[in-house]
Amino acid sequence: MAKCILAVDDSASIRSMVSFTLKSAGYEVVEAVDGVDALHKAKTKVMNLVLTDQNMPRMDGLTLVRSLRLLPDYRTAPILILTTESGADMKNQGKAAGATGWLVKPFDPQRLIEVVKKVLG
Amino acid sequence: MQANGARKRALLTGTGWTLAAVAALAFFKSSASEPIYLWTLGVVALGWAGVLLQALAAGQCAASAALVAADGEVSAVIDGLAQAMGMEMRRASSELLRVDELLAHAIERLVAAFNSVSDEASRHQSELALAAAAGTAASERLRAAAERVASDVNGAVTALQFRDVVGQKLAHVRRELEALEQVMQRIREVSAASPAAAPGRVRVPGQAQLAARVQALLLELEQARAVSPAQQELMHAGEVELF
Repeated sequence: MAKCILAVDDSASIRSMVSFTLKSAGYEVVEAVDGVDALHKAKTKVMNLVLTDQNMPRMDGLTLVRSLRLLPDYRTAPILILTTESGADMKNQGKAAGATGWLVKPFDPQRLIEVVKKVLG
Repeated sequence: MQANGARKRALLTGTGWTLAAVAALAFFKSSASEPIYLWTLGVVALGWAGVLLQALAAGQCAASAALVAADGEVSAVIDGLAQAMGMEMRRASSELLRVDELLAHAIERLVAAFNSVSDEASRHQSELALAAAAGTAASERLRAAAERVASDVNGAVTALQFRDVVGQKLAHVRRELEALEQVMQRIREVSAASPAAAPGRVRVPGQAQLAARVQALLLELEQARAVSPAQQELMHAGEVELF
């Protein structure tokens, strides 16, 4: 059974590219438009991995990570942040919030698949 | 102009005073004793002192009036400039919004076309794999072609993400323009609230206060500039860091 990945981004083109890349590698992908939508979908179905943007309306990526880490199903689940932000300060905040890794946009599809495979074990 | 008129009047008054004193001296010279000269000199000196004081007061009034007028002119220039710049910034911000919309529309169509092409390619992928496995020269060419397609698809996926990066940069520039517009508005408010703007009041120069206000406005601008999430210069793939 294919592992399920929650792709969270307010940009439709990024969601489309992430979805295309991960589906081509054999993963099932659920899309969410922001943190609130993602949190709702994560509660509805347990995901194997969450890949989220940082800057989004309603709820940003760091808040989503903190909220997910409070849920029993996501205490140890891999959560990657995929964002345009590359500052050390933001990365440290991501680490402190409980993110598993930090990927800077634009992503390379092959590299993304490698990272996803690695964190999913 | 007002100062010159006041000085002329003072000069005329002084001259008239002196002539009157000289006439009085000529009248009393025949009938009065020696001290009348001293009295006359005293009266003339007192008259000229009064004239000088009058001239000084007139000069001060004129200078104050000129200061108020100049300050009013400066305020009007600042107000006009701030208004014009604010309008230009609103126009630029609106143009950027339009660029962002056009970009979103273009990228939507590009992504749709990309998805259609990649779906078509993946439908033929299994046939290509079978043909490539045959081991002939043609199959080698097919294998090479499939690798090139896969590499091109990867490149397209990376490049198609530019909408997000460019969109964030545009949003950042718009935020900066909005901050500048607010600064212009604040400058107009500061200019309108200055003492010279109040009719009949002489401006007390408050350079330190003005400098503090300008510093505060510049700080606001700096804070707006600092919030720039997208730092990418080129559409190369970004770095990856696992914690």
